[in-house]
Amino acid sequence: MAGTMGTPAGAARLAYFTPVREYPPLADRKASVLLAAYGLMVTVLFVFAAPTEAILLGPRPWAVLLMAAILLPLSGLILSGSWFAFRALTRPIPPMPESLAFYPHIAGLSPELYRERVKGLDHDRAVTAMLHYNYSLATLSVEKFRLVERSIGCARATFELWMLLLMLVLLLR
Amino acid sequence: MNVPEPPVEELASPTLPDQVATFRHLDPAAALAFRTPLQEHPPAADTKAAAIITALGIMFTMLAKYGTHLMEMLTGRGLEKFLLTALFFAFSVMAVLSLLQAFRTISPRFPRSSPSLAFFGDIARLSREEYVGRVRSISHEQALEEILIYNHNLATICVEKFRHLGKGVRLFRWAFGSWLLLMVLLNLKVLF
Repeated sequence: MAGTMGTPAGAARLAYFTPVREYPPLADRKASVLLAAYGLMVTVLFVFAAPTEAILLGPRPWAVLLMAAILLPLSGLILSGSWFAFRALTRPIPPMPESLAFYPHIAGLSPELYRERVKGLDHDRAVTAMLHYNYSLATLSVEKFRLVERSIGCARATFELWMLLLMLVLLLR
Repeated sequence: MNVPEPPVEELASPTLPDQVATFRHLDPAAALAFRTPLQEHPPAADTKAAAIITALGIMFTMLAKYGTHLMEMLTGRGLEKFLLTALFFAFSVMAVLSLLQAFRTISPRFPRSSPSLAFFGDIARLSREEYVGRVRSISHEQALEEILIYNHNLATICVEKFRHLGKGVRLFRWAFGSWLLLMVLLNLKVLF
């Protein structure tokens, strides 16, 4: 179906209603939850800092080795998992060609110039502005979710080691 | 702006659920202006700023756990004392500045501009009757004008928020680096 403009109405409808906007905030929420989970696990570890320290400074070398073998990868996993989640959270929108749908480009114009530019648009350019925005948001979502997935992978391994460490602390103290 | 009346058969034709009934006769400026995706950016900046504040809270709590050892090392002697003092100072300054930027990101801001019937503050300044009356009597051209003012204001707010957030994130990275080194040194001191 072609509308009264150069751009087919179907293209315009898809451009304006493509559901890409909700995915970056969704990835942000997941990254925040992951950061909170890492924070909780670290806080609980700190509650058991005194018995852990006692085991590490204790007379049993096998227990020291066992604890170190868990603590070192655990620290690495917590750090890398938090880093992935933090990077997912702070990833900026990829650059896009000049688009009147993107806030820095709008704010870069004076109110008068913005008004003039928008009023001078034809459907082709208006739809193209939307498509550039959609594309950048889609690529941003992919980048964010890739980092969130990595962080989730680290969180799974972290959780297993964390449980193991807590059990060992309870058994060996 | 004079928009020609659509033929009756077009008005009677079915529309799909996502389709605005007037779409075929909507001018391109209005199509983009009324659907410019701006609303999601301020909450996104706030979420990230909140994460920085939470992370700093956890980092301070964990550092406080080592308070005694930290004081011992800070009042100690030699290289250890200077290294610890430099790291602790760097962490404190970066963390406080990052916290400040995070709060500046979250703080509500309403830049001065022409009033717009799309902005809640300007709507609330009118009485209910006045608001309903003004919107009901508005022309297409005036409605477009109102939304353009609103879009420009919100875009300016977004740029301002993300500017503070960007600074906050950079400072947080430095604060995190200093904190990590501090924690490693403190743990080494505790263990050996």
